[in-house]
Amino acid sequence: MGAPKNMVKGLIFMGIYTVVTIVIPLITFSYMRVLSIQGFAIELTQEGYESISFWIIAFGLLISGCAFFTYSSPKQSIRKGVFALIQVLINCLYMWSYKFSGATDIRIDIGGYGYVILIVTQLVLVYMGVYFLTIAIKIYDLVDFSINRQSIREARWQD
Amino acid sequence: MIYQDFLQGLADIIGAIIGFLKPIVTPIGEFMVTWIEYVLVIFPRENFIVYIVICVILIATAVFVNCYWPGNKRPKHLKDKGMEFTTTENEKIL
Repeated sequence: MGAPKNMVKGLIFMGIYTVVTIVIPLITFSYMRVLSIQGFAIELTQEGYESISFWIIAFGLLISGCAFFTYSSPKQSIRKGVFALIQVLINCLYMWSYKFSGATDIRIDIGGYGYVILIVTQLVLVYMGVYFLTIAIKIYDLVDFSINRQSIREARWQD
Repeated sequence: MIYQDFLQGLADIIGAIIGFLKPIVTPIGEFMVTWIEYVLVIFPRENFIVYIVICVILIATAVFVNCYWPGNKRPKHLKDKGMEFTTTENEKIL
């Protein structure tokens, strides 16, 4: 795959990551701020809304940039392995920023009835554990790409 | 009603999986949290410019690297010397 194709691929994935990590979470949080279901006014009182949006955009930008680098790199190349690993690490920071910014303790006021607090910290912890395994796989990939560099390149140049 | 049952069933399945994995995954998650909290202190707050600059640098570097080393053919310096691959011996010659 030549340079233009690599970059088009990188751009497509960067767009996907931008939508998934920045646009969708921002729209969701904005929409959830004031929501009405079957006549009940449900209000998401999130004092750290500004903080949440800041971390979403900040880490979303880093993830998107890394995604461009990762997906525009040749298949099984060392640089792809390195940036895929960096991307996963930043993904961890991104996930944890939800907790960090208070988004994992969501207080929902139900008009005239009281409020409900959703604490999803445990879920994030479990997710972090799963992410650890992803990091292990990415490290394995990187080691594999480095050890078999010669044969991988040979195969790629012959394609 | 069917939708509610479906959602309840789905929640039960996810709950069971999470409950089963909890003793294994949670300690790893706590380790992850330790290093993440340590690293997050370094990241600047209330300043988007740093993140925008990093993102732009990443994209520009990727474009530059791809233009010079697209990875689908032998690098020019190897081709000129009639070498197939970058081996340790070839690197010495180069």
